Amino acid sequence: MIGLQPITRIPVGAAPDTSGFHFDPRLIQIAAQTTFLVLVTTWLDFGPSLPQIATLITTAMICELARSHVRREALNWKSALSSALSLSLLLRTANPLLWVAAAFLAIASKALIRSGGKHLFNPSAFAIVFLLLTTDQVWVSPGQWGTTIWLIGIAGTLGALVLTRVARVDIAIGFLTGFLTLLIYRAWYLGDPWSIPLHQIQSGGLLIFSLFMITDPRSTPNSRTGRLIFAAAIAVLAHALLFRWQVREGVLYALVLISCFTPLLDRLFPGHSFAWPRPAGV
Amino acid sequence: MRPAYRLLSYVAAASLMFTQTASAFCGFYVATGDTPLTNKASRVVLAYDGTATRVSMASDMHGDPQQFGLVIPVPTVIKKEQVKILNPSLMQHLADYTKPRLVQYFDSDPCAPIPPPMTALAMPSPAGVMLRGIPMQKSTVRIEEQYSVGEYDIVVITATKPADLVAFLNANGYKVPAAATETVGSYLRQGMHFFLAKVNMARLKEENATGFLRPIQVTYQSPKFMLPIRLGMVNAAGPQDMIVMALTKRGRVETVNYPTVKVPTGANIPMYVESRFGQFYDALFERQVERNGASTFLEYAWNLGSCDPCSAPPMDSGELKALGASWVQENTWQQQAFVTRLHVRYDNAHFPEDLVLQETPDQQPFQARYVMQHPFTGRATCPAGETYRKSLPARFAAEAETLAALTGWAPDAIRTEMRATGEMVP
Repeated sequence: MIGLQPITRIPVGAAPDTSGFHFDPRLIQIAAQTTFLVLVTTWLDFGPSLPQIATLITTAMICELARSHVRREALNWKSALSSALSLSLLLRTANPLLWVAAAFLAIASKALIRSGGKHLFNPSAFAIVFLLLTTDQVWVSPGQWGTTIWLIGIAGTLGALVLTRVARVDIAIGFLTGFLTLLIYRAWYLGDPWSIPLHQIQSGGLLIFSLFMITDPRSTPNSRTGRLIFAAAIAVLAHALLFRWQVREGVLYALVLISCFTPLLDRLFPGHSFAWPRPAGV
Repeated sequence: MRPAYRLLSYVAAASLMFTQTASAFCGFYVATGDTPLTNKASRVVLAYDGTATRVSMASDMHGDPQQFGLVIPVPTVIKKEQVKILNPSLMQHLADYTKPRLVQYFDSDPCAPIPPPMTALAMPSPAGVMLRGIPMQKSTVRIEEQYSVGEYDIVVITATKPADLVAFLNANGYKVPAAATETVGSYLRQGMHFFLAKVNMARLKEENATGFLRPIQVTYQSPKFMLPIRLGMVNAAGPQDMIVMALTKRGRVETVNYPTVKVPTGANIPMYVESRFGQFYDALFERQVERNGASTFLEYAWNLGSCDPCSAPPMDSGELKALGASWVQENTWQQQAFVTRLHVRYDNAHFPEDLVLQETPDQQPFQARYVMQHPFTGRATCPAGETYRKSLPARFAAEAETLAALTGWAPDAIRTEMRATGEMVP
């Protein structure tokens, strides 16, 4: 396991920040998501349209403004932007009303579906699953990313997580290890060559982007034990959904379903609740 | 109301390379005799309504029908009523309707008043089944169904041990390499069964005067929306081509374990390509495969209610129903059906897995369409005519560059050909 500093130690030097500059891990996440989005829109067919991206970002920002106003809380534009970028990467629909609905659902779920001082679901995963279940006009394209982007994606995602030191790399590694183990077990059981599980984990482009969601520190268990159980459970459920029930969006459904058990995991395995680092001295 | 069915200046591509090759069935096309049979291309229609799949498989095999054998893994036991024989023209019609197309436009007289813009142009006895070979009491092979449909004798089998199943196939005249055992075992462990078809020569003469093998259609209920390609790769000499034409209710079909890539479309290309459109598309496709590797290629995606331009007369509801789109309403042009044509060139090195498919609600139309723009050949003596004439060499040069980029053909050879047909490229 990669050694990580607890998040509270992030402000290196910990001196009050008088320069106005401070290290914010969410900016790295946003930068990584933006890079993927550029790759997806310039390199791949069936990517999101520019109006879709613009609508998602605008709606998410407006909803976040409304949320901060109603709840009298600070504006969290980075979180809203990150959700909009995740939706741009994954959600496909030709209906502009559903772009608006998706961004609204993401921010609304963050504000309204809460437990233990944090939101229960990853906002974008919740929005996509909600629309998949309630409309017949949205889809995700797990196969579109191809092997090259997968490799860049895995390196980029893990790299960004390590850089941000948000103490959630354990979930990413736990999930990937669990998922790969199940693929290898399946290949062994069926007598398939190794090339098959290797291809399955590489072509699951959905995995990369789910990693952003699965590792969302605000909707995952507080303790490392809780997080590893959380990651393993998602891997098992996603595998079953994908292969047994032939549900192509299995990873997203698994994330949303298992997230329902985060309060239970926090009760069983208490830990410190996560807070994004604030400028030093705050 | 009749949909936009315009067939104005459409130039039919005579026959693309994949229609010229002897086509085989997607599962496993095996020789039953010693005559080598190529397994280079196959054509499949998949009709999927969310729960039931109908797979129609066409072969335009020209060899001795006695040599023909089909082995395909299926998710359920297929009973006689789930198997139909199709009129070959049905699949041919859908293939013609969805194939890459060349359209032509004519430049208008630059001196004439500007016209309003125009849009684009337009069985009876199971006793006939001979099963022989290995002693059944030692084998784990179980015959689940056995019947004849049309000119085919069909057997559906399963086995506990894959080696037994391979031995059974070889004992019954299907030449299956031992290397296939591992793949057979994988399908058996996934709970799949094997659907075997061979030609009954007596029935072929009796029922089918043409002598050509007719397509087989199999219907089953299963959440598995996929195409098994692994068996077919075991003994293939090189890459194989498959054209998948999917009929769905909601929209475009794509692969979820390989990227789906749109073939380049809409390019203006030199006029001489008309006479060799098949070669052009073959070269273009080959280049796309080189660039994109293990991908499936979208050649057509359109609601069946319209086409523009149409490369063949529209499919009527009776034809669509026969191909498996059972939800289609009779006698209406408002077709509730969408067709996706995917072209895949696969081999063992790049396609370790079967093709896993999903239906999306995407109704965005797409077609592989290439444009020939005829220059105006009249006198055009006005100043605009002079400007027009001066603009032509640059346009021809751009077309030459486009063609070279799409096909990889030598630019010099392209220019020579263009000059020979009167396109004075600089």
